Amino acid sequence: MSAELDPDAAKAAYARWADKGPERDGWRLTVFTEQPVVSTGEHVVVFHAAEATTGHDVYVMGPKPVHGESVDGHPTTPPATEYELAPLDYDGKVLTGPATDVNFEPTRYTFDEPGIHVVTWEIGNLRSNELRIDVRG
Amino acid sequence: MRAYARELGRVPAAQPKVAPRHLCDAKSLASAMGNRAFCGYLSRTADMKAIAGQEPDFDLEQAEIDGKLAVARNGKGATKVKPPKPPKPKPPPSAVTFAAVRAKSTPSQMTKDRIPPRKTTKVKVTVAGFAKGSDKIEISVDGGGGSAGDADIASGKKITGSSTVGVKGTTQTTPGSADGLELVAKQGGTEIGRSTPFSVSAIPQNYTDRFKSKVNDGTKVGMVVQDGWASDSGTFSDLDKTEISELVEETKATGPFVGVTPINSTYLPGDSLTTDSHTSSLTTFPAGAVSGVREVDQTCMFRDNRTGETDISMTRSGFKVVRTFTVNKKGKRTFKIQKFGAKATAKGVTSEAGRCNASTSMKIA
Repeated sequence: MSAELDPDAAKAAYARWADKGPERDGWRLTVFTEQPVVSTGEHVVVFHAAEATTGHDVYVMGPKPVHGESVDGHPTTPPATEYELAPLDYDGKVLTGPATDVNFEPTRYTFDEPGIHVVTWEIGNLRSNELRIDVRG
Repeated sequence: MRAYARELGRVPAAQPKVAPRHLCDAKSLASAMGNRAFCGYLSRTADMKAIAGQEPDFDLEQAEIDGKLAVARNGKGATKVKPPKPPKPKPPPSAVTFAAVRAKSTPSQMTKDRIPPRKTTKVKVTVAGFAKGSDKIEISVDGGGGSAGDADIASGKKITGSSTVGVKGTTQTTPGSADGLELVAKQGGTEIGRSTPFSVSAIPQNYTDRFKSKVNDGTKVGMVVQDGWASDSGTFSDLDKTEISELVEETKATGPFVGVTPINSTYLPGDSLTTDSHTSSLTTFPAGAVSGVREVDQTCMFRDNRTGETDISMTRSGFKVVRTFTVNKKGKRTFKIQKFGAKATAKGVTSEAGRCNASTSMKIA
């Protein structure tokens, strides 16, 4: 499920988010939210950031669909291809890293079971942080 | 006057036989010009004074002249005392109205008035009621020096009639402090006009693209172009508080090209140039694909953090990108891509043509 992206809000939330993903091959994938604690049945909006820490090309047009996301180990979006971070069909701006792209469609979840639920995002051998959402009954 | 003449006729005969000296003078004059004419002269003089709303400054006396009645001037004799000239009244102050202090490069979408730094912006000044001999009207900038930014009057500091004043931005407005500057007109130290507020901020305009490289790497085909745009201040680094966002919307897709939804970049720094990539996956053209065309419009909008304006269409940032896939009779497959300046609309943002004429073509196996 996707929600509408407010890029400014996503950028600001990413800047504030402390638990960013691990850096690998000049990339850092991060999933983050402004609702780390929710009630059962409440919507949680998850944002995505792909940060090039070196001189990679960053394809910032979008919002792009998110592929390769899982919740509690179960895929919730189609699997990612090797072109997620460098789309083949493309029109528009390309930045040269270091640069951060938050122009991805947010995903949205609701949880019926109380407890900690974990959201992750994987593209090839890149793996994001674990976003832990505390769902309370 | 007729009544007065009748009254003269009723003067008793017991009037003094010898008139005072000044009356003697009057007698001589009356005698010289004739009693009737003399009476007429005096009564006209009295009437004129009355008309002017003033009391006559002399009394009328009657005297017998040449055995007839006449009227003479009383008081300080016949010598005319010229009243002192009243001081010339000060001319009324003029009134001044200013046109908006707004550079021509400001898109109409921007609701706040602004001028760029470094350049002189002409502002029409209308003066009403400037009287000859008045003090000159002095034009100055009010509110400058702090976070509002600052500007100088480059020309037309002192004016005497409607004219044009040149205003040059010297310091850009700090974000969050828009509308802190005003032009003020003073005459003799008195304020007689004030402009609407304005800010000093540079904005991006005149997008350009030039061919940079061909793309044909076995997975995709297309080209990369180098983006460029200018600051309306003439100095690119003045754009440090602006951001730009590129918008792309498909207008046509036939043959192997499938429709895609409009896209945009997020807001990116306005003082850092980028490249644009226009590519298609080779999987778009499988064996047996028929000829087709894909056209997209591209425009750009900007945000000016100094004035707080956002989502403003950048002047002359319109482009069309046309991909053409053709299969000739011999089965030869060609991909061609062109980007050129044209009026365009993408995601609701319209702009006149930018400057670009880039194209490349390649054979596809």
